[in-house]
Amino acid sequence: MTNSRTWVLGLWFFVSVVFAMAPLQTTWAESEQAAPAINNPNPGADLWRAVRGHLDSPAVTQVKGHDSAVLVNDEGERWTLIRVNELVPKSRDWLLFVILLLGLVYMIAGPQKLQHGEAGVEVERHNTTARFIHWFLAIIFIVLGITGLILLLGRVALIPLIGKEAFGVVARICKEVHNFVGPLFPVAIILVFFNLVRGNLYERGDIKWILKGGGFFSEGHVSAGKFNPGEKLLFWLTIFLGIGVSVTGYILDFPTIAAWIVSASPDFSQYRHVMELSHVLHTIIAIVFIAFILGHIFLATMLVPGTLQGMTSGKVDANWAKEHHDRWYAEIREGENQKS
Amino acid sequence: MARMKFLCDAERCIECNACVTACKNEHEIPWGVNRRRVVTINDGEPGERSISVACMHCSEAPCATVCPVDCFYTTNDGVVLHDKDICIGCGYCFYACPFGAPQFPETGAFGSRGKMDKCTFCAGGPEQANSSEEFRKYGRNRMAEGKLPLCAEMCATKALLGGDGDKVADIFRERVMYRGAGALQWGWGVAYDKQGVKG
Ligand code: HEM
Ligand code: SF4
Ligand code: SF4
Repeated sequence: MTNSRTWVLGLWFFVSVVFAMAPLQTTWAESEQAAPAINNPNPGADLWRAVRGHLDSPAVTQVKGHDSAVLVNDEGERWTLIRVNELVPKSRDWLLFVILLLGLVYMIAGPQKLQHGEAGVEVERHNTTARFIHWFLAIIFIVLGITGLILLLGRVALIPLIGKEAFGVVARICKEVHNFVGPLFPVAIILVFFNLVRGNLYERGDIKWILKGGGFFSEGHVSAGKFNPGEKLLFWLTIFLGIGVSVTGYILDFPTIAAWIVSASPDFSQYRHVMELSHVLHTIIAIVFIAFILGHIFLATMLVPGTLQGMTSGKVDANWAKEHHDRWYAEIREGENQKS
Repeated sequence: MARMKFLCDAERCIECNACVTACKNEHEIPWGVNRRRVVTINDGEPGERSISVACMHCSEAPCATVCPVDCFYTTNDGVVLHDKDICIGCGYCFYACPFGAPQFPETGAFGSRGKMDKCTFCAGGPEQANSSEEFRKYGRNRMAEGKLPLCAEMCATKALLGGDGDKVADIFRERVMYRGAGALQWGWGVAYDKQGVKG
């Protein structure tokens, strides 16, 4: 009944985010057509195309640096408009929407109490290693998410409140923290992958859980193993979105990687184009990721009481285990019986 | 007030890099930073042209639009300046700028980006004009002394013009009429004819 909500909410987020991002593509395409042409009154000057720094550009300069021989960066303005007119307002709107939606779900479904109350007996769910890895990832994620959002939304959300000088200080700290903590993120993702992948593979019975919508529309619980398919979805999203933010984040953090991509790929003529593209992808993936994690935190702390303690003390109530993860509960009981 | 603009006459620029040097010297710019640079197209081929480029002080400047801490401002002369006390060195203005004007001295830990530095049209920054504080951060404030940018002032062939946009355009038009060629007001379409940027 309750775990089903993980699944339904997850799907809901995914669909809404995909739709939210759809207009972005059209804007990208439109602004491509509308990219400002050089106002060139000299009809014979093919030469001037070289100033836009395409690969066949024969331009040279004495000044060293990325793209220094490029006179005009023709994608800068497109990227500027995407950041200012799409990424900033849409991120703000969608995150607010997700928070409102979660509030609404809470108001309707309230906290999901156990049908038979607490058993008073606890069973171990997550060992110390698993809990350490989970909180290692969680803390890094929260730090990166908050600092990243401040960089993204601060100009519209915080400058009107605290002024430019104070925000300059805040943003400076956020940038440094984000830049230095960011490279740790893939480490946490790799640890989580190896720690949890076994419980998150497809099991018999999962398809039934999915077909029944996780029991969302029916009375009683639908059978689940250690992790239900909703949680498995979250696991795989964490891995893949995590790889996404990490790859794009590393490019943003280490511009030498961007310079290398330019030299290795004929599709990119400028280092700045790689940075602009990485930035847009990084922001989109990060916002989708944050939306899912908000849902995850909401389910674990508010909607389904008794879940969080599995990650803090490591133990859950036996009735919680029976109702939400019956197959897993049966397994550990069997293990205990064999031992005794 | 006049609207200040730069114009580089590609028919005249001889790639002597004197503007680059003059700028570095006048403002005591740190190593690795070049507020101005000369780019040569078709180097050594027939039709070779050189252009000296720095910040063009755009109308509706993309750098100012994208800056996450909103630290740019435009003076009454149309000069685009920024406040280094607020800048966080994120580099976004460099991705946004059509002309590659913003520069970053590597001052942070592990060579991360320091605060952005760019051409000020020799107009300093938000501090008291020609205070030592202003000089240290932004270089000399010649505009406050009633002088135009040094790069253009000392250009030997007068390829680089800097000053009141109308006067610059008049001088250039006269040249084009006289020589009957090279009518391109390079970069002006990109810098001064903006429709795109909102917000
Ligand atoms: C949980 C994962 C992450 C989230 C939620 C996140 C979020 C964000 C957001 C919202 C921005 C701001 C974009 C803007 O202001 O337009 C940003 C920028 C950035 N991110 Fe991340 N990010 C994450 C992971 C990473 C990782 C793993 C790295 C590096 C390895 C990284 C490196 C960067 C860099 C370099 C920037 C540019 C910021 C600047 O230079 O000021 N991020 N991130
Ligand atoms: S040339 Fe670049 S730095 Fe100068 S005003 Fe235009 S966008 Fe900003
Ligand atoms: S580097 Fe500084 S001036 Fe440029 S966009 Fe970032 S904060 Fe603004």
